[in-house]
Amino acid sequence: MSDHYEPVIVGFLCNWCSYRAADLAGTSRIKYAPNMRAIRVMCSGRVDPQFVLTAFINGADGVLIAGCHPGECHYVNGNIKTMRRFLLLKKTLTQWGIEDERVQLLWASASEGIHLAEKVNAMTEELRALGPLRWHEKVLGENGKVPVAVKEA
Amino acid sequence: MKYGYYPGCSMEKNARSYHTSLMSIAEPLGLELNEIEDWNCCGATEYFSIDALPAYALVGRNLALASEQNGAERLIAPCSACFLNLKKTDHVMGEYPEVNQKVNTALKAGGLNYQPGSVSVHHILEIIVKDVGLEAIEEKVQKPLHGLKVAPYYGCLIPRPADMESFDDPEHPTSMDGLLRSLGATVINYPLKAQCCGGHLTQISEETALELIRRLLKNAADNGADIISTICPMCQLNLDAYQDSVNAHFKTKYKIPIVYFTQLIGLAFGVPEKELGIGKEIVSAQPALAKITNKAPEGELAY
Amino acid sequence: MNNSKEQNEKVGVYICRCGSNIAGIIDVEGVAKWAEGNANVEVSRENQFMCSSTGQELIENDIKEIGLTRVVVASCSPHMHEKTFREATERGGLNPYLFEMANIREHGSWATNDKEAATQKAKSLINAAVERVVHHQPLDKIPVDINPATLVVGGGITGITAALELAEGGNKVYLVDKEPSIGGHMAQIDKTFPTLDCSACILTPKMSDVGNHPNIELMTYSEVESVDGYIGNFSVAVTKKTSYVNDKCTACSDCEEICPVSVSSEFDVGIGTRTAIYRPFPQAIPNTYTLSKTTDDSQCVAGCPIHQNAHGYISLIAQGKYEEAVGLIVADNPLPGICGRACAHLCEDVCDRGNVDEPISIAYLKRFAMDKVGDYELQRPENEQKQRVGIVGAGPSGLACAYDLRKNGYQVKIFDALPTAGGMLTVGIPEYRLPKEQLEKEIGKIKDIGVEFKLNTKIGQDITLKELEKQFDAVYVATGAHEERKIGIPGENQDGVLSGIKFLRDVRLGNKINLGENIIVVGGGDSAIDTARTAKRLGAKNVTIVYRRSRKEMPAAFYEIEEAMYEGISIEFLTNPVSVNGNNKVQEVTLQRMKLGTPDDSGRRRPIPIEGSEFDVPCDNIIITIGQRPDIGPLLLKTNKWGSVEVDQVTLQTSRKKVFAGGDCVVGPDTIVGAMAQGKTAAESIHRMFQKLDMYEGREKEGAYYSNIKVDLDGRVIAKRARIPTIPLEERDGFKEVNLGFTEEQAQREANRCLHCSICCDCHLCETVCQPNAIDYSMEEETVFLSVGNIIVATGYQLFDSRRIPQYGYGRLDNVFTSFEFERMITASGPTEGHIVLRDRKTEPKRVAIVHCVGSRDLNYNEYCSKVCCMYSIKFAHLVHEHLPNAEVYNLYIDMRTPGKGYEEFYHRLLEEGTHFIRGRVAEISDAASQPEEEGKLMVQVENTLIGKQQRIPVDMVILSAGMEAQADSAEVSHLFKMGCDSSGFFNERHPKLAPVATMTEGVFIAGACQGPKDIPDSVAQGGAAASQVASLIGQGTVMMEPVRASIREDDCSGCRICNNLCPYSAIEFIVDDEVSEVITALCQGCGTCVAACPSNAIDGAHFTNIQVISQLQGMLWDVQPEPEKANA
Repeated sequence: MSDHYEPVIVGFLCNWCSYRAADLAGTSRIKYAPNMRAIRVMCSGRVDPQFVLTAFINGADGVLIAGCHPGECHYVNGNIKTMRRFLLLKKTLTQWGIEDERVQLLWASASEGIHLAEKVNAMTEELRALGPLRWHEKVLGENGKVPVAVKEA
Repeated sequence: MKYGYYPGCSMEKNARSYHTSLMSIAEPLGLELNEIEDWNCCGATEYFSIDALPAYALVGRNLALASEQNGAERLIAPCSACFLNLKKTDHVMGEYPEVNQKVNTALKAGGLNYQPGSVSVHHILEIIVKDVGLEAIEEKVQKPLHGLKVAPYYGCLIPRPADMESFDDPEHPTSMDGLLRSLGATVINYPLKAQCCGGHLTQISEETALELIRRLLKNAADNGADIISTICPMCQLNLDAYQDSVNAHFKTKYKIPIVYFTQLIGLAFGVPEKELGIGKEIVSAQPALAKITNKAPEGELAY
Repeated sequence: MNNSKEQNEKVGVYICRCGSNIAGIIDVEGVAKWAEGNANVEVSRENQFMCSSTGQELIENDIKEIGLTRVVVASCSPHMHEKTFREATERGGLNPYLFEMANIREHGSWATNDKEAATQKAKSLINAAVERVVHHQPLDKIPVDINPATLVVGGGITGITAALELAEGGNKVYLVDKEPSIGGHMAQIDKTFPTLDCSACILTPKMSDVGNHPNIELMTYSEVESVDGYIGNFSVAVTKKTSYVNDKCTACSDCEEICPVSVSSEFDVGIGTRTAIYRPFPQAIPNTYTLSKTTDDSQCVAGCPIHQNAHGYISLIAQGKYEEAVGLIVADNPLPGICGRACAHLCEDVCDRGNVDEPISIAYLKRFAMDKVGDYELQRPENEQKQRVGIVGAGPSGLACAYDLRKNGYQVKIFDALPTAGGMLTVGIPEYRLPKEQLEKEIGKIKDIGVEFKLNTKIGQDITLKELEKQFDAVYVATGAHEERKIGIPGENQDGVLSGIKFLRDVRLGNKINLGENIIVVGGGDSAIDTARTAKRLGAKNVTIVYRRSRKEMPAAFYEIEEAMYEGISIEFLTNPVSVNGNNKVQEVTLQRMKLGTPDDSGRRRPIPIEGSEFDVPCDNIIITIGQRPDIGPLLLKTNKWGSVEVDQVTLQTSRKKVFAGGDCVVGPDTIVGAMAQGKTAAESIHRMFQKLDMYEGREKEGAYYSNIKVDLDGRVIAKRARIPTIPLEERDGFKEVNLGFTEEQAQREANRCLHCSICCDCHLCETVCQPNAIDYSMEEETVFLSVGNIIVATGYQLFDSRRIPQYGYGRLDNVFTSFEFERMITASGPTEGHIVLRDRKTEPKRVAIVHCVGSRDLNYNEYCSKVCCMYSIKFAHLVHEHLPNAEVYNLYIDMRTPGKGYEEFYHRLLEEGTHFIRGRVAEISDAASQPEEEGKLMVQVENTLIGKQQRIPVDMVILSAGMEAQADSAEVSHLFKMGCDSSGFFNERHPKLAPVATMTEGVFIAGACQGPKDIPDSVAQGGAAASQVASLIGQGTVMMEPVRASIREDDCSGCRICNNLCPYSAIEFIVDDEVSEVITALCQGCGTCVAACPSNAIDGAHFTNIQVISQLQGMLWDVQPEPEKANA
C-alpha cells in the first residue's frame, strides 16, 4: 500500500438488511470508498462490544454497525438492543478519548444500497480528517498490553 | 410576535394603501413590524435578468441589515417580488458557496456580512394565515363581509419560489381563500388565480401584458367576482391601472375593483375606509363594497 | 497475514474470476499466489467461473485428493452462491458448514474502479475467511415439519390463482380478504388489454370456483391481526369484521331496496353509490349482503342528549319516506315539532358536515317532516302496569319523563303551577319562534296516550311532596329554573331594570308591561336574543344587546344572532355594564369595554375589563338575561349551595328514595333537550326501580357523548346549507312565526347533504323486510386463530390519488375522471350502464383526452413506471372509438411502453383507428377559457415534444391514467409478516432475478402487484409461482433449517437471566432447580443477541461464535495490524 493514509473501516452488516444493501450497491455498480471491510452477522444485535474493541486494537480506524430500520428488524427488535449497546459503548470510548466519528450506527434496508454507499463515503472522509486511531498510544500507552478478554478469545 | 419589515419601494408610492392598511391591522393582529433601517431596492426583476451578481449583492445588503437588526430574524415582505428576491438570494447564497463568497466580498465594502439562513424570509400572507391564524382573525371580525364575492388573486410569484419550499400549493394555492372566508366574504374559485399578471411586460410588450390581464379579469368576472383581492403591488397596479386599456383594446367593459387583502381585513375589523386607503384605487371599490350586508346570504358558509 | 500455523487444518482457497466481473478489477492471479502464503492454506486456485460444474468439481476433487479439511471461495455474495458451494463441499465429503465465502464481487470489484484498493480489499476478505473457516465446526441442519395448510392474503386475481392451484393439489387453503367480496381490482375492470376479453367473464368463474372449493376456506371482510411462528408452523390471528348479516342471507336484495342510506361506492369508485346494507357487485363471492355500520353512533345521534335518531330521519327524508321518518322521530321524542323549531340542536355543532362546509340543518328537517306529515301518533304501551308516577312540572323534562314511563305502561299524572302545560316552552320562548297552536297540539298528543295533567297546582302550596309520595309509587320533580339571576352592579334594583325571564313570561301570558323606547339587553344567550326581538316587536325603537365576550363565544344560536341584527337590533360585543344610573328610575347605564384573556373552565376565553374604557349610554329599560336559577320552595329536598336539588348523578334519585329530580331545577338553566334527557333518565331509573333491576348497570351512553367516527372529508363537494325561509321584515311587527319551514325541494336537498358518518342509520327498515331474518344487529366481531405452514401475501396495489396533482384538476373540475372511474363507466353493469357520459350523466363527450403517466415517472410523486398505464390508456382510446365513433381521442404520453405479447400490435391498431397520439407531459388542465371557442371546454396544456410546440387542446372529458401505488398500509403489513418493503412501499422479494416471489422470511411468499406494478398475466404467473413453491415445500413434508442457533454452556452460565428477557421469541427459559438458563432450540431463530449480551460468555451462537468472528476480524486487518497483535493473532 502507498504510504499516504487510507482509513480502514470494519463494517458489521446484518444479514437481512444492510449486508444486502451492500450487495445491492455492488450489483447496481454504485462506486464508493473501498475502505470498508464487511463482516456478516445474522443481526446487528449480535455485535458484541468486544468485537468493536478488537477491531480497534487490531488496527481499524473506524467501525460501522449497520442493521435494519427500527421496526423492520428481521428478529423483531434486535436493532433496538444494538442501539442501546451502541450508546453505552460510545460513552466508554469517549472516556478513552476516542472520537465520536470512529464508531457509527446506520440503518439501511435491503433496498438502500445508495444510502449505505454514501454513509461509507462520508465516514471515510471523516476518518481521513481525523487521521489514524493509534489505539496503543492513545488507550494502552506505549508499552500497552492487550486486554485479557481479547487474548482468551 | 416580532418581525423585521421590508416595505420595498412600491409601498412608498403606488402601493401606499397596501402599506397603510397593513399598518392599521398589524396592531389588532398582534404583529410587531420593525422596518429594516436604511433598506434599499430589492432589485425587482430587471437587475436579475441583466446581471445576477450585483442583483444578489443588492438584495444581500438588505438581508445583512436585517440580520444585524434585532427582532428581525424573521423578515416580512408585503410585495411578492421583494419576497421572492429576498428568499431567492438567501437560498442561492446558501446553495452556492461561490455566490455567497462573492456577495459577502461586496458587502464587506460596506462593512456588512450575511450568513445565509440567518434570516428567514416570509410573505405577509403566510404570516397572517400561519402565525396569526384564522381563529384569531375570526375573533377580531366586527363587520363581516357578508355578500361580497371576492376573487383571491395570488399572482405567479408567491406560490412558486423557484426550487425552494413554498407555504402554499404552487399550482393551486388556497391560503387566502380561507382567510377571506373567515372575514365572512364569499370566495370565488377560479382557475387562473396563480397565473401571471403580466408583470413588467406592460412596459416591454403591452400587447402580451394586456392579453394576460384580460384573461385574469375575464376568468374572475366569469366566475362572478365583485372584487379581486391581491397580495402584490405589481398585480394590483396591472389589473387596476390597465383595466381601461384592456377594455379599450378588447372592446370589453370590465369594472372590477382591485384591492389589497389587507384592506379587506381592515374593513372586516371595522377600520375606517380612509385609514385603509380605500378610494385610492382607480376602478372604484364602492359599488362592490355596497353589496356587503349584515346578514349572511342564502347558504353562505356561516360557521 | 498469519504465517504461523497453530490449527492443523488444510484450507483450500478458490478465487473466481467471474469472467471479467472480478478479474477486470482485481488481480486474481496475484491474490491467489498471495493467499498461498497463509500457513493454514493448503492450496489456492483461481477459476473462470467457480459456480460452474468444473469450478465445483475443482473443490470436490481437492477435498478427495489433497484431503482439504476446510474450503474458502472468494467470489460473489453468499446470498448468491453460498448454497452452491456448501453442496460442493458436501459432495467432496466434508460437512457443508466447513466452508466460508468471501464476497469480492458485490463488495469488491463492482463497488470501485480502484484496482489496487479492490485487490487489497480482496486479500483482506480472503484472509479473514481463511482465519474464520479454520474455527468452523461441523453442523447439521434442523428438520422442520411443514403444516400443509396455507394462508393466502388478498383475494384479487393473484390470490385467487394461488389459492386454486394449492387447493386443486389437495391442500387446505385459507383465503383472507378485507373486502366483503373477492375479485380485487380485476372485478372492476371492463375489458382486458390487448385481447379485449371481458374481465368479469374470465374472472367470475374462477371466483365461484374459489367459493365452492371444498379445500378453500373463504374469509372475506376479515383482516390478519398477528402472525407468530416460522416456516412450517405459523399461527395467525384473523379478525372477522362484523357484517351484521348471518349465513341465512339469500341475497334477495330486499334490504338493499328499502335502505335509505346512500354513500359513495368503493367498488364504483366515486361515480356510483351504494346503500348501507350492500353487496359490492352482483357476481360477488361470497354472494351475501354486508351491513356497514360503525360501533359508535353518528355524530348527531351521539351529540344529542336524548339520542334522537337524526341520522335516521334525515336519510328517510332524503328518500321521501316521511311517514317512516316521523315514526322514527316520535319513538324518541314526544315534542317533535317543538324541538324542530326551538331546539338548541347540539347535534348540528358536532355534525361532520360542518368540517366540509356547514352542518346539516338537522332541527329544521325534523320540523319539515312533522309539518309535512301533519298528524301523528305517539307510541302507546303494549300492556298496562299498575304503578303510578306523579310528575311535578309540565316542562320538557316532565313531559319527556311522562312519555317514556307511559310507553312502558305506567300510570302518569303531571302537576304544574302555571295555567298552561309546557313550562319554559310556553312562558320562556316567544310566540314568533314557537306558536301556541304547535304547543297545544303536541301536549294534546301526550294527553291522547293517557297522561293526565293537573294545572294551576303549585307544589308545596296547593299540594305537598309528602302527599304525592302517598298517592304515587314514584315522583319525578322537574320544576325548572324560573328565577332570573342578578348581575350584582350598583343601581340594579331601580325601576326599569327588568328580568328577562319574567319579561318573556309576562308577554306570553298577556300581562301588561310598560316599555320605553331605548332598551339595553344584557347577556349573550338565546334568551337575550328572544328578549331583544320581543322588545322590538313591542315597539321599542332602539334595542341594543350588550355582551361581554366576542361574537365567536356568544352562546346564542348563530342564526338567531343573524336574524336579530337583520331586524335592526345592534349588538355591542366585548362590553359589560358596570353601573345603572338614575334616581329610582333608569336613565343611563355605564358600560365598559372588555378584552379576552385565557380560556375559563367553560372553554371560552375569559373577559377582562379594559381600565378607563367606561362610557355612558342613555336608556329607558335594562333587561337582564344572564341566566336563571331554580326556586325550589319548600320541597323538603336536599339542595346544594346554588339552590339546586341534590341527586345521584346517574339515577337522579334524591335524598328521598321514591323521589327523583331532574331538569333545570337540578342542573340549572339548560337547553330543552338537556331537560328532556334528564326526564328520560329519570323514567329509566323509575322503570328499573319498579322492575327491581340494577340501577346503574350499562348507562354510560345516556346523555350526549363524543362519537369516535372519522369520515373521509377529502374532496367533498361544497354544498350550501339550506336557509329556512322567513317572513319579510315588514310583517315582523306582531308575533307571527318568523320561520316558514323548508319547502319539500329544500328539505330533500338538505337531507342529501348528509355524509352518513356511521353509514348505517339504524332505521332498522331492512330488518322489517328480511324474510329469512338474516339481519342481526347484535352480531359482534370475532377473532379466529389459524395454524398454517406457509403464507402467500397478495395484497395488491392502490391507485395513485390524482388529487395530489392539483393542476390536473381532479376533484375540482367535474369532467376530469380517473382511470377506474372510466372503467366503471364503460362496464355494461356499471353505474352508467356502459355509456360514456360527462358528470351530468347525459352529455356524450365529443373530444376526450387521455393523460398518461399520472403520478408515475415523476420525481414529485413516483419515480417508477407503473407499467400498465400505457396499455390501458390505449385500450381506453379504443373503447371510446368503439362507443362514440365520432369522438376525437387524444392520448398524451411521455414514451409509449408496450412490451408484451401482442401489445405493440395493439398500439399499431390504435394508430390506424385514428387516435391522436401527442408526445409530451401535460402541464395543466383548466376550465379557464381565453378564446371564445374555448368556452365550456377543458383546456389541456401540453408541449408537443415531437414538433417542439406548445398546444392547448380543448376537450370535453379528460381521463387521468393514474399509476399503481403500494397499498397505504404496506409498511405495517410488511412488519406483520416480517418482510421488508422498498422506498415506494412495495414488498421486497428475496432476489430480484432468482427469487421473485420468495421473501427474506422462510415460508412467506409475495405475489402480484404488492411486489411492484404488474399487469394481469404477470400477476397470475406470480400467483402460480408462489403456489408451486409452497406446494413443493408441502411435498417435502419437512424442510431443513439453517443450524444457526444459540446454545448455553451450563457450566459457564451464572444464572443471571440477562438473556431471558432479551430473546424476542422467549426461547430462553430459566431452569430454577439448576439455576441456569436454557435455549429451546425449536423456538430460537439464531439472531445472536443473547450471545452478545452474556456477561460470562456462556452462550454459543452456532456458526457465529466469538472466536470465529474475532479470527475473521483479525485476519481481515492483517495489513494494518500493529506488531503486538500480529503476535497475538
